[in-house]
Amino acid sequence: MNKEQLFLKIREILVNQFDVEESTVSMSANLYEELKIDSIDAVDLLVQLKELTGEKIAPEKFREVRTIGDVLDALTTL
Amino acid sequence: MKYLDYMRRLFGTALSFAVFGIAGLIMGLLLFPLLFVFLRDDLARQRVARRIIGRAFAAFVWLMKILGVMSYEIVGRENTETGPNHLIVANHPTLIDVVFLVSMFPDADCVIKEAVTRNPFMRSTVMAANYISNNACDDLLDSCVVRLKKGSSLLLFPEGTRTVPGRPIEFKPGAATVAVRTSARVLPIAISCAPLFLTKDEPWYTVPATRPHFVIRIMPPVSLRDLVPGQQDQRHARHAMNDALRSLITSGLTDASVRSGATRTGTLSQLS
Repeated sequence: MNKEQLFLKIREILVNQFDVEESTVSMSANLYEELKIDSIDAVDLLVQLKELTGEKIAPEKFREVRTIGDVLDALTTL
Repeated sequence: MKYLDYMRRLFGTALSFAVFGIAGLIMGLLLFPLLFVFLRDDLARQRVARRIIGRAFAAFVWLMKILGVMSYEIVGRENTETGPNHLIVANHPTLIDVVFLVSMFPDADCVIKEAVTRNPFMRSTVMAANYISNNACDDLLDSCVVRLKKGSSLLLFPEGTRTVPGRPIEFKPGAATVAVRTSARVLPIAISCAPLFLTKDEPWYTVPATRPHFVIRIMPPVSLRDLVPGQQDQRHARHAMNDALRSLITSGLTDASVRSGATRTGTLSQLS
């Protein structure tokens, strides 16, 4: 899965499960401040991304993630 | 005069913490290990240990007040009368908030940093009192839920750490999760301190130019149903609960505290 596909997938999860407005989802959008995701949501998201990519993001790494771009970077530098 | 007052409070703060440290050491190395020898029943030991800690913390509050390090008032004591099974939720501006709250609610469960539970000087204290360690994050919420359902009160600082001075209060979702999962009655407590001291980014010896005054406002207990109307799934209820608790506690702060949060604590140089 390339970056573009991953972004679309993350956007789909955010819109469908976390009540995020589709228009607010961008690479630079801050998960916690702009998209109103809390840390429990973030763990949920992490679990789903793991299922999607089959790869694990270390929780320590995910803790540093702020924007959707950071999520993609964390996923693609594995 | 101002200088004298400042020096008195600086000395008082140093003395208070020295006494706290020494008393903590004696308890951790002597008193609480003895408690393990003489009180074999876990629950009885827990009860006695918490009473001792509560009294010791009350003595510390008294000492700081007598030494003129700070003054305080507790507002809304009548709101605690509804029972011992509250989820007590407070904001966390200073280092000594927990000392106030444990002296006021000695029987309550608390969550303790894992590092403290492994500290050889404090280990026996924490073990005897059977507080909850925050080591395993997955179990932490479950432990909180179980303890509350057993009937005791649970004390949480939803900010997770002390407030960053000047920033609005932000709550992590843990306390709201526990509230939603247990439907426990929540006792919100708004802690104001003006001028601020013993904050997250300043060492203990940064004593403000005037004596800090604490207002500890115990607000009327609220239930999940009061704050989150209608049927909602856990996630929506958690978000709504978190927002509601944050605005409730923020509304209970004194204006002076909100204002002083915007500036750093005064220092000696401001006196002249």
